[in-house]
Amino acid sequence: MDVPSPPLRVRVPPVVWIGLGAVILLDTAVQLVWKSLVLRVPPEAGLGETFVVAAGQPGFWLLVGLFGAMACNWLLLLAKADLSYIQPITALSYVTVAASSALVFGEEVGLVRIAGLALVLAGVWLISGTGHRTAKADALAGASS
Amino acid sequence: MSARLLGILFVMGSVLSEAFSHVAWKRAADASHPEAGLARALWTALRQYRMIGLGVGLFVVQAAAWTLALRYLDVSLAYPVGSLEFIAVVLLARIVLKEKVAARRWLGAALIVAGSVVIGLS
Repeated sequence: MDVPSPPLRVRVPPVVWIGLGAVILLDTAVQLVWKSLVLRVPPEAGLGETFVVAAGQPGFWLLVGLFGAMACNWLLLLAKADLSYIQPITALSYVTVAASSALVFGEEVGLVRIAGLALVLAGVWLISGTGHRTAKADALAGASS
Repeated sequence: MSARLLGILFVMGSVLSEAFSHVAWKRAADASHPEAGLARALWTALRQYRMIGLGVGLFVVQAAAWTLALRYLDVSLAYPVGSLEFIAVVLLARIVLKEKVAARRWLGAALIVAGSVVIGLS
């Protein structure tokens, strides 16, 4: 007699992976645009002048648009998965921001930083192997039974 | 109170306000059915004005607290302490949202914090 074995891990729907990918891409883009705006501010500028100079550039509105896209994408992800699943996985942007800063701005990434990024990657890998939705699924199962 | 302690308190304020802002938005997002289409899920979530507003307000508090923290602390210290956010979010999701958090997820969050501490040292 065949006895079905329980699944080793719950399948995460593509919409969640695509949403998480979008979080990482948008977050990396925000950091790069933000940094490029701040680079044009004189070093001696105060907080107010920094904002005025940054907001006066065309890239500022790109930044605002990116923030809006991030907010909408985040709400959609929250509707599809646990907060405790998706939020730690966004730490992947540490890795993408470090890599793109090295490529775009020529920033140095030393061995210690690479070790830290490896720990972040290991943590994200561990979390990605857990169920993506628990509380809401339980509530719905309870309501339908 | 020393400047260092004050800075750490501001970082902790920033961590907690951001974690609670995520919980508020999760509450808004949970108003939609999990199988709802993307446009409908987004529209339903955005109409939860109180939770969306609370989340935005807490995010503004977070930004202010983080800015103040950086006036008292070096980024190399503020950054690793701020990474405690990953633990705070998992803890609040467990307590407030009743999410099931497996040991593997706790360990993953702890590794991310450890990685952030090492990045802060670099």
